[in-house]
Amino acid sequence: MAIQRPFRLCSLAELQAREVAGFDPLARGRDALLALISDEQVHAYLNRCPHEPVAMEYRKDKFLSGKRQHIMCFAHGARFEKDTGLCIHGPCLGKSLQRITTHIQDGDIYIDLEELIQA
Amino acid sequence: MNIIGLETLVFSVEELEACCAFLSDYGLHCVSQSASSARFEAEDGTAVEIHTDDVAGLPKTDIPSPALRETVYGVVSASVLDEIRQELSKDREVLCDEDGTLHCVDDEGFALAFKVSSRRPLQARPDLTNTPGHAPQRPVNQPGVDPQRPAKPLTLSHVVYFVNNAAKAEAFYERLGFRTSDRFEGVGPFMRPAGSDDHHCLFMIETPPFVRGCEHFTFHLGSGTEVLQAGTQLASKGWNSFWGPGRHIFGSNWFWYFNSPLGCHIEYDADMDKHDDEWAARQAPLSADTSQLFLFTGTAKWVPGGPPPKSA
Ligand code: FES
Ligand SMILES: [Fe+2]
Repeated sequence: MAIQRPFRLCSLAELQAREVAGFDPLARGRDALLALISDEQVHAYLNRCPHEPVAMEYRKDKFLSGKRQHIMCFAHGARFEKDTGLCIHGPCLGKSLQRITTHIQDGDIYIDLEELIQA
Repeated sequence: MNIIGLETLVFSVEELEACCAFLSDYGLHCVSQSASSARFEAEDGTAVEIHTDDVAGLPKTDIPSPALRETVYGVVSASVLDEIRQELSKDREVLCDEDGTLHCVDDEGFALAFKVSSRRPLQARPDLTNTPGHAPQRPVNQPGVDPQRPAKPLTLSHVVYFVNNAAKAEAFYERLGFRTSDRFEGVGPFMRPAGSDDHHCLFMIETPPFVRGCEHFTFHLGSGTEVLQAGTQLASKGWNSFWGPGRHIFGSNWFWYFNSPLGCHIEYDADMDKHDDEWAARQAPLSADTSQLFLFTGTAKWVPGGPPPKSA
């Protein structure tokens, strides 16, 4: 893993079970990123809406639309594709969530804290 | 046209249970609930209704649920409904259902309804402040704080729309007797109907055509203290803050906004300015400084000398 400061989010199995999860690696008291599995791929995005710079979930881990097909911002209802982060409906149409690179090792999911700090 | 203000907001939602949990934690009373619909009322009977997508008879929208489906205004009497019908029938279809409620669509595509208000009279306790140099408002030996006293949503306050043409939208509501109290330049007007002295029950934000729908709505609480108290409780129940607490300048209302499963954020507000027709509308460019006197962030309670706060 070519990571400066690896941070373990959780195991792949755990994320599979949770479907989508928020994480607060910098202990700021609010989840800074979300990770989910779509088409058997792990995706992680900064928990910051491209419309206004706010967290998107309405409560812990509630990042998905009711039918689970989109990531959703519950401030104004923007919808994002799970596997690209592209906004396909809402006030930030055409803009994208900022992707955070994930690394899988021995069944665990890692991010680089440096990337999160810079984001 | 004597429109009093908002009577009911009707939403279609994807997650009925989560919406019910939010609205009851927010402090509204659930007065009816089924597998597909629920109604939540404030102290005076003004309400939010939520329905699953498949419920028949909701006004149509091409905005995916969760979405605001209808804004229902209350009027003082049936003769006001006649005036509204006469005025709006000039250029649009106005339907009247069995109970006399009028339904139509505004120039921006928002479905509206008008009915004779069935608000219950409110009996709220006053928020009394003691100020040096001013006769005390609160009598001696009467504590201002009672932690057991719940902060209850009293009445529907205002709704905010994204609109594509704010000037045209403003002109439409002027036809219904609304007046503009203040405006953010290049954004839109704060408007109040003729039967209300509240600074606004409608605010509109001009946005490009792909931005549509309800931006937020709110109920009035009894005081600024109650906004802080209710918001602290809502946050402690796990609901995420969007913006606030703080105090607006136009309208002077306290605010605290929360993300919600209804597809827009939902506010607590209190202590809004009152106006009459003597008031001259102000305008200002929209900025962090013009929109709020101050802004704070809620945090978990702790006390010096006590254990560290539990992390969120
Ligand atoms: S802040 Fe996310 S849609 Fe507006
Ligand atoms: Fe508001």
